[in-house]
Amino acid sequence: MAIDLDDVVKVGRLARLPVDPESPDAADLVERLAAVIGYFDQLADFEADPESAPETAETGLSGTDEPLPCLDRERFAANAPQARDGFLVVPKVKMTS
Amino acid sequence: MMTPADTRQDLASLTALELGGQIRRGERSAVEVWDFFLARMQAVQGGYGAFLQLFEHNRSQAEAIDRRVAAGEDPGLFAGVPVALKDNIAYAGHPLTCASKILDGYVSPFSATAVDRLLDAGAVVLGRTNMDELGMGSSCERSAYQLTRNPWDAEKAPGGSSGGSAAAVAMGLPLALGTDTGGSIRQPAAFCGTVGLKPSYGRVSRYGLVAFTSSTDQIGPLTPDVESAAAALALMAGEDRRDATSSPVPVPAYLEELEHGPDDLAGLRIGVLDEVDAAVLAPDVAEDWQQSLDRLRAAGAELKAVSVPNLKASIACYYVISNSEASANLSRLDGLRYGRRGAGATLDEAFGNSRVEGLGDEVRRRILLGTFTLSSGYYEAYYGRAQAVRRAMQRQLTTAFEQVDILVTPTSPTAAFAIGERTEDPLAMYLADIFTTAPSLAGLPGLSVPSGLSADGLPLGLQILGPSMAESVVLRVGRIFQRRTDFPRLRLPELDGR
Repeated sequence: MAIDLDDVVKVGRLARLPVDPESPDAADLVERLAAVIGYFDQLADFEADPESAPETAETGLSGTDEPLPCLDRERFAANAPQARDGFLVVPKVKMTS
Repeated sequence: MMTPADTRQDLASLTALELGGQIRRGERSAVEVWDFFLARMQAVQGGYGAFLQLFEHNRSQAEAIDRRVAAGEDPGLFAGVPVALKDNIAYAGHPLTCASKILDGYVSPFSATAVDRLLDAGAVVLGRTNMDELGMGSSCERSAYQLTRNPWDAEKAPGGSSGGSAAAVAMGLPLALGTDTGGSIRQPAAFCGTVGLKPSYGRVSRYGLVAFTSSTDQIGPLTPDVESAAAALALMAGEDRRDATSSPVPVPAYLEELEHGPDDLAGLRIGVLDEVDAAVLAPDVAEDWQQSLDRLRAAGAELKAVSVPNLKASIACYYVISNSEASANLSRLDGLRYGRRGAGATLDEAFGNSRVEGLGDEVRRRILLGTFTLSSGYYEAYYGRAQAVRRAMQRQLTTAFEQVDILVTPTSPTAAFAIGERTEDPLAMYLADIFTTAPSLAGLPGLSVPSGLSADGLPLGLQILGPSMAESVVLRVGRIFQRRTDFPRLRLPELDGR
């Protein structure tokens, strides 16, 4: 299954990793991604179990479900690029015209 | 009479258990051990670049251990043992970047449970080791900060992604933590001539581990010896209410089991996979592999051929699933709550610029691939198919373990490759993981133990696999194999003489 530049631009938008279709690197990126996806296509040749089954070892916590102290706001905000009064400061969600 | 150089080499050749024992008994001070390893790792940092940071201020922790010993207390099994942490495992009050620019400046507000449990047993954190950015790589060449070189040959890669931890242990450090998602402890351990243990999925809490592929990530130890790996696992393993995927299955006394267990493999059935075809192995790996099998047979094991046909699909399967999970897990690296924020008049622009500027090429490619394989129209063909192939592989492995107690493979089909040799060809890089990804996908425990040297004098490893939660038997085989293997100790000319 091939992937083309339009797919990569669309996926870049979904992944919040914008891809500039005019960039000189865009063709190389498409080629690299296409090679890996071509490699993935071999999965069609192997045995597959379609039924839903646990995908990992059985786990599950014992004990009671009690709230525990969580990270306090000040320590959390200490890592933020910008914070004020215990809140994160961010750019506007959308520009108004 | 020992010369000062002999004494230094002597310290660097002690295991974590031996060092901890000597410090607990007051035969050696924790400060002496700290000063020795700090100086040793500083001396080789320029040449090999194993560490991102060395925490000189933690000498006070070693002093505190000595005070406790002097007061008649027992600080624990790893009293005063210096441990290095891969840069994706949280350690309170210290930087954590996953070797990525996007987490530049981030300071962990808490410690991982695995770290807390080692500290409770007296270990002291020496520093942070280098890795492939966010765990995405098999050579440690993808770090955004520096290159780590293989201590056995500085022109070769140490493997990855836990390459810094493996290199540090190869250079004499008794203990380091790594993380393994598709082979990231086992493969660098093999490339650097150390022991590396990936526990079963759920065996060790992931609280405080930066998530990459949540269905396979595990924290595990790298050590010179199987016994210290067993002891570290026993300390770190067990249920943790802060990680809902941690298993309530009781933790065996791994070390005591080894100490009191049999010294041979009589009665043990070891499976040799048909899929470990000589065609995929480098000639010297194929030769070492046959010698390893002979050694296991000589130790009393019965070798049986078994087949897991989907092993040959494991790399494709693993990379679809790990990229898909990573694309979701890493969406939080957007410059909003922590790390580097890119410029942008709107939130969307800031997100995009933060990620494009902060994430390296390989990470961006993998996120794009994972987003593609999860996207509408392609999900069933890729992610859905990979999960179905994974389920069939798990079933095949379960069938294999009905016939044998243990499976073995070479850890990697080649010895360490040259720096730069595979960076332009991701598929060639992925092939280094051909034997390590299937057990990760199935949640099995895997141990890499040094098995011999390649034609160029580079370390090779044997991978020992067991059913889920069967670390006891994996460690038993590993210990007996290591005892019967004449593997040379690395001597660094700049420190140990020639």
